[in-house]
Amino acid sequence: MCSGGGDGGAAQARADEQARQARVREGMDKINKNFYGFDEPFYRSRAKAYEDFANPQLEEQYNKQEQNLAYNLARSGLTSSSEAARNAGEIQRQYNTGRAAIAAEGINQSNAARRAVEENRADLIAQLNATGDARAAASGALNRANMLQQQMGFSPIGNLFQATTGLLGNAAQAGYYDRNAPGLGAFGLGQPGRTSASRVVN
Amino acid sequence: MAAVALAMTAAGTYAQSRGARQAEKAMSAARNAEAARQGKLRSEADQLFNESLGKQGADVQKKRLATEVEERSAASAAAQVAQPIAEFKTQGDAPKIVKDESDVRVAAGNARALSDANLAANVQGFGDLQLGNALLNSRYLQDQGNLSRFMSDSSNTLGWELEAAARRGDKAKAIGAGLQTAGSLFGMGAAMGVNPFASTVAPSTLVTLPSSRLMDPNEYYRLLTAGR
Repeated sequence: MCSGGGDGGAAQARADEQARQARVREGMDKINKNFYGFDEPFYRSRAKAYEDFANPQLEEQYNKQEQNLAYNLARSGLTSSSEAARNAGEIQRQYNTGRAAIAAEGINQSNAARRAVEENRADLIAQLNATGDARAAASGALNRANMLQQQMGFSPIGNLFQATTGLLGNAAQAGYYDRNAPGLGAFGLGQPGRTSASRVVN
Repeated sequence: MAAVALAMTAAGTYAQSRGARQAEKAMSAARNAEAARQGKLRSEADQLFNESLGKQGADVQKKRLATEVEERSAASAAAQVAQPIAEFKTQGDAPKIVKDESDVRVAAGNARALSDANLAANVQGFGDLQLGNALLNSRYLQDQGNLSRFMSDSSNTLGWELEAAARRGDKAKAIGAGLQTAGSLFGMGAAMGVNPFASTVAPSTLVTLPSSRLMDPNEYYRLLTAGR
């Protein structure tokens, strides 16, 4: 006779099924508990991490653009002119548009983190349902949660300033013709006797 | 003899009926228990569905969309810098008219950047809303999936329980069948005037009947008399 004690194992089957349900519920609780740390502050921190990463790049791009614009304005004798004012407004717009784009991308990055966390959580739940093993699910949840806490890589922001005015266009290209630019000298190549360490001082 | 046969048949019928009732009662109990379990799980599922529906109706979604757009706009606005950032070195000596023009241009640049950011937020906010819905639905589907599996597995186990319940009255039914068979035999014997308690029939006339056959009284008589 089966272990059910004369009932064909029906009682044992019912007990097994109820125990499995309890394990799945327990496993769900453990997964939720281990993923509890992925809350709004966590996702906001992902957005801020991106902003902290991207804003210095924007500042660097802006500084170069501003220097080149000032140089181009001076070279054209337009530093104190309405054209300078127009370019100031344009570079201000581009800078702030860049700042806003970075803030928006920060939110996108936090959304990407949400998706990644949810996918991991779903995988663990599928694993829990397949095995009914609450302990393994909890352990997996902890491992995945720890992995997700690590920083994900961000890509460089690319050029956020555009040549929307003639002077800004020249400013964007100004560095190309800068005779102080290292050129191939930066790689130890180029004209004999000229290296990246040597500069023509005006 | 006839009275004994009648009593045995009646007792057999009662025992069989009792066995059937036991089985029916056990099956009914198993079905009711399963119905209660299914009802509880269904109630959980209904609650989850209503919760999900409550969060995704048009009114709620419109409010959430407004919140998402507002959050995006606020993040963009907070990131932007209102003060002029481009201060060209020689502009300090520029005439007032140029400085004023510069302020106007910078303010216009700020306004345009803010406007563009708000328009972008209006588009991207809907994506945020959809992502929120997708995550919400994913979680509800996971929970509903669990409940659905619980219901299915529980229902599958009921089959075993019903089989076991159907066997619950087997003992009483077997006793009943035995009594009914014995009663029938005694009844036929009585009809033929045989009294086993009086030992009037010689052992050689006894016939072993196949237990699986329900004997016709005539055939029974023919078999009894065939050897004479």
